Amino acid sequence: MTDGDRARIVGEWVEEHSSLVYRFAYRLCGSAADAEDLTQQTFLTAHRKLDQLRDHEKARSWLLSIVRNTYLKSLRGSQQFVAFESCDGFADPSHDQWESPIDGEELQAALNELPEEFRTPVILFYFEEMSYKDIATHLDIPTGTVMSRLSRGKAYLRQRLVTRLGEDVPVSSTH
Amino acid sequence: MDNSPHNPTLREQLDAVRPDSDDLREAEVQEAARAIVTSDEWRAVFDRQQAFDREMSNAMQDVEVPTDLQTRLHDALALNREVADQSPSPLEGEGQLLQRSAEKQGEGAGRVSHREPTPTSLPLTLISRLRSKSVPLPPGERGTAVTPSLVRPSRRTWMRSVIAATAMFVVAGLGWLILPHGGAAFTLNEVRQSLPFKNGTLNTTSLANFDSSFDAPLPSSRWTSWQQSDAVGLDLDGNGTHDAAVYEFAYRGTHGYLLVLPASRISDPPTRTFFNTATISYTPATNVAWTAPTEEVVYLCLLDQGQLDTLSRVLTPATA
Repeated sequence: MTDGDRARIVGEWVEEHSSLVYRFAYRLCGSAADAEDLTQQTFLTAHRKLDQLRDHEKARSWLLSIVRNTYLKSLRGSQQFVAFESCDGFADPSHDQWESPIDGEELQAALNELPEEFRTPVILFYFEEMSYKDIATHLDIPTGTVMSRLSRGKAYLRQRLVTRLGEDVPVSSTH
Repeated sequence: MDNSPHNPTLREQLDAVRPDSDDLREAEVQEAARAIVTSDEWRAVFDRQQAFDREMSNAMQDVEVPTDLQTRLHDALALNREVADQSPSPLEGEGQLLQRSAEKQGEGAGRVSHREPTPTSLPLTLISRLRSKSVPLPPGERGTAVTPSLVRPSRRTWMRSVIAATAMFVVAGLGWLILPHGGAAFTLNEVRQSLPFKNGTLNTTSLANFDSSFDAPLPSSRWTSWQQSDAVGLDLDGNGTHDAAVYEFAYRGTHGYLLVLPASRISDPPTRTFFNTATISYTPATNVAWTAPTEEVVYLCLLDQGQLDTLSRVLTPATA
């Protein structure tokens, strides 16, 4: 593959996938500035490692995997591990009603409050629509732990979003 | 927390099922699958949960994208290629390219304008790429927008250029010291045979601290928690720089060393990409090797105490 081919291909991916890559980066990072940096780094990495992708039909998932890996790599050394016990406040909510549609910024604020070990599985589940098994593989943690973190992370988001809107939304007990 | 068995509760099983998927067929969620068939109450909980998940998936995509994002990405890619194509010149140094790109960022800043248009405002990632080798810009590509001007520079511009060129040479020199310089490739077996074993144990006491001549990340945070000391380095080809980083680790009676090598230096890199699926070798000690494609490194894990199974159990993503 010539240099011109590489430039053309990655240029086309910028046109086609940059919005998706940015949105994913924004959900992971929680800030527009960091998301832009991560997006830029993703396409530079794609340009550099283009030969590793055999099937260009899979560019979308490959780019997202670069975002994910770059982000996770950036956490190493700076990651603050939150004791599992400290998350006991993530009780199962007694109500499952929310305002539709859920506001994207409200959601991000809630995501930013989640400890990293809960936030990343939740984002992979919702944004990439990964199965719990795939999440376990990518994060290198047992599936049981993924299921637990997903459940508690999602419970917190439900509680947080409903609580924030509680004055305006009638909340009823569901079970 | 990851080391202890965990049996997912019914609620956790329901939460793990993606909307409109076949996840309910998975063995780990069979209790939930039965519950939503036999109990109207759990069926209602499940339906609400699925509806919430669909809303959340939609909301996840609700992110405002900067209008000039694509333009800036094209510029960054073009600049990345152009810098590699530029031979050092007192009239067009890296500093000027940085300045130009920064000005472009300033011009293009829309909703997300977080940085002042100065050279130092560029993301570290781009600066890193500017210092690395890349490919020339093809004719007619977007990058031509930042091709050097042929207009004769003013004295001030000339002075700036001289300063920028000086800075570029300093950066290039530092980059040469910091970045990997390539070199001969080794087979994994050659790496294994060159390890300084003494009485069956890897003798690391004579090895210097790893010189960070390449990026040598550990595979995951779990390995970080097992790390016993700072990494030491191995100079395999005798050129004075380290070709492998060696981390000593210990976990529940298992002790060994994890070597991290640039994939480009291994002529027969493993095809497996996870520890738990890698092929075991027993010479000169029990060891497995696997490749991390995105990190561009090869890992070689050697044990001098314990069993690989001990590590495999905790590194295998499976329901405990």
